Amino acid sequence: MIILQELRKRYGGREVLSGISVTFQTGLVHVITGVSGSGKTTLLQILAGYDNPTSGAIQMQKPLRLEYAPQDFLLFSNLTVWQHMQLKAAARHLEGGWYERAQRLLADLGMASYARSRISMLSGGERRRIQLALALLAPCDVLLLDEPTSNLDAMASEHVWATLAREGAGKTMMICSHAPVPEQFRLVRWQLRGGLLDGEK
Amino acid sequence: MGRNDERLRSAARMMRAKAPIQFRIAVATLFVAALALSTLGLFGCRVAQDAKRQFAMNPALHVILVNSVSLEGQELPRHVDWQDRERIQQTLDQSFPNAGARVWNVYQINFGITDSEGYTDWVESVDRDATALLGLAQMRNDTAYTPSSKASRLMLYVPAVRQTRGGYESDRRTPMAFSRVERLSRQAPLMTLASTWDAESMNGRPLFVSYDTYRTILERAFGQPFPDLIRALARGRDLGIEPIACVAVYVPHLADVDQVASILAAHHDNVAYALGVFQQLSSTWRSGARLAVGFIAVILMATCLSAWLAFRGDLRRSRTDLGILRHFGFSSREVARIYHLRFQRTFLVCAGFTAVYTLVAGALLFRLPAYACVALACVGAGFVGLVSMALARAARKTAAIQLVHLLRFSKEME
Repeated sequence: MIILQELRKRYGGREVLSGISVTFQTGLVHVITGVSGSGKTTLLQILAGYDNPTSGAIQMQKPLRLEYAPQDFLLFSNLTVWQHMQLKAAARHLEGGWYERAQRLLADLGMASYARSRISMLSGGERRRIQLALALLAPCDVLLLDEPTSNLDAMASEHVWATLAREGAGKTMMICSHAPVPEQFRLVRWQLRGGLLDGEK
Repeated sequence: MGRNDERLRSAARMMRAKAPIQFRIAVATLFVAALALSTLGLFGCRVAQDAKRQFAMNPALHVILVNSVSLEGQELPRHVDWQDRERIQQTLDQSFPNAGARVWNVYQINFGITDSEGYTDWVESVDRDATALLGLAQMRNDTAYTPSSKASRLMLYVPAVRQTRGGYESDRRTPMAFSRVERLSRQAPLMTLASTWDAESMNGRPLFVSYDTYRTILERAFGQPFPDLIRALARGRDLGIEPIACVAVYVPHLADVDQVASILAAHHDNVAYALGVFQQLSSTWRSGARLAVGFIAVILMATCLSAWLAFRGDLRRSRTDLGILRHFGFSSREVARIYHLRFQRTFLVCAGFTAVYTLVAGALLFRLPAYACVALACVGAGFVGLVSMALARAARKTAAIQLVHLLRFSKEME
């Protein structure tokens, strides 16, 4: 369980998150929707530990391994796709086996032939899939995905959801997406409105 | 630990490939700064060495010459005589015993003596223990010392002086052989202190002999034992000569020279010394040197600062890269290490190059002693190391910034 207690975030005079108190059950896929600027990305950044809340707290029952795929591309333009995989493996201390897993992930996401390509040569959709592959490479308990299918066409989106369904099985996922999330997941839908998170029935 | 380090080194190798123009400019600036520091250091050492050699180590600056004594109630000063050396020594022993000043006579025969080379020689000498004034360890009785002679032996024709009613005359000469002729260095203290000792023309030249030879020449010229001549001179008898050219005072410590000269002047001795002339010039030199040192220091600081700022600029521009590495899962400490490893090789090359340049240029171009070259090479390499350590510290601080700011996600920064 991930429990948010009175979570607030203020930028100058504007309060983006206005005291969110909810519990995210583990093993489920939580889909957070809301209009642009409603604070979805801010909420994910706080959950990922990239930012601090102005007040409130996040409680977890046990230390959880998180992976975050942000909306912005956090990639090195001069490095190849495979070098990114190597960096990720080095950062997460991955030992033998990651090599095959990385190859499989790239293949699942339709990026196997791009392993030697520099990021600067890739389109937005291709970069999006590389970012997802990187988030899925290391073992984790929680996946935080911000607009995972933006820049993608329908076919590529299908690849992504299929890969997420397979790789994310049993994991807690929090997905911020304007695009609809397939019903194949055990979904819990949340609406972020006026700085508060409401559960949808 | 080794495996962990290899993991970070591998990441650093990948990051090294991403070397923006700012990093290259920073590296170039560092090389220029290191070379400027090294060259200015070498130049400074050379100047200091020259100053030491030409000034502090120059024996001529330790010598004060007393030529005459101004007597109270008399308009014209009197020339120094036989009694003055002892008087001056006593004065200094009483007034400034710690100076350890030593007082010697410089002798002359102030009439010309012809020689086998056709010159008229002005024969001079110094006390037995004052040969250092001529830059000599000792003087031989059979040797003539001149600043210029090319002859290997010399014959002096010493005139036999006769007193007549009208004064002194000489119509007979006694040959006196010197089996050796040695050249005197023009850098010898006495040569540099008074131009007359270095003056030479077709008509005459200075010729130095040992004190014993000097006595012999006087005995042959006047036909009397030397002690009798001195006694006659002491009684005030006019022999037509002034055997004492001047009294030379040697002061072991350069810092005491001025005070010794002041004491002598206070006792009515008219002094001439090279250090005094230097000090008049040195006020101009000193202000010029201060300006130059200040200017060099400003240039040096500006160069070092620009190297540092160039690297800081690169670090600022690399913030997002550091943020991405942390996003990948490296800790802030690991990210700082990766950044440090990225420039470490560049700094090592720069430090090595600076050290080698300093050693080679110092030895071959500036001709400095080995210890100075090694010390400066260490300073140059140390400077590069210092910039490297400061940059590593700055990288640690930057890498520890909250990720949202490092990745410029924060809406507070937008």
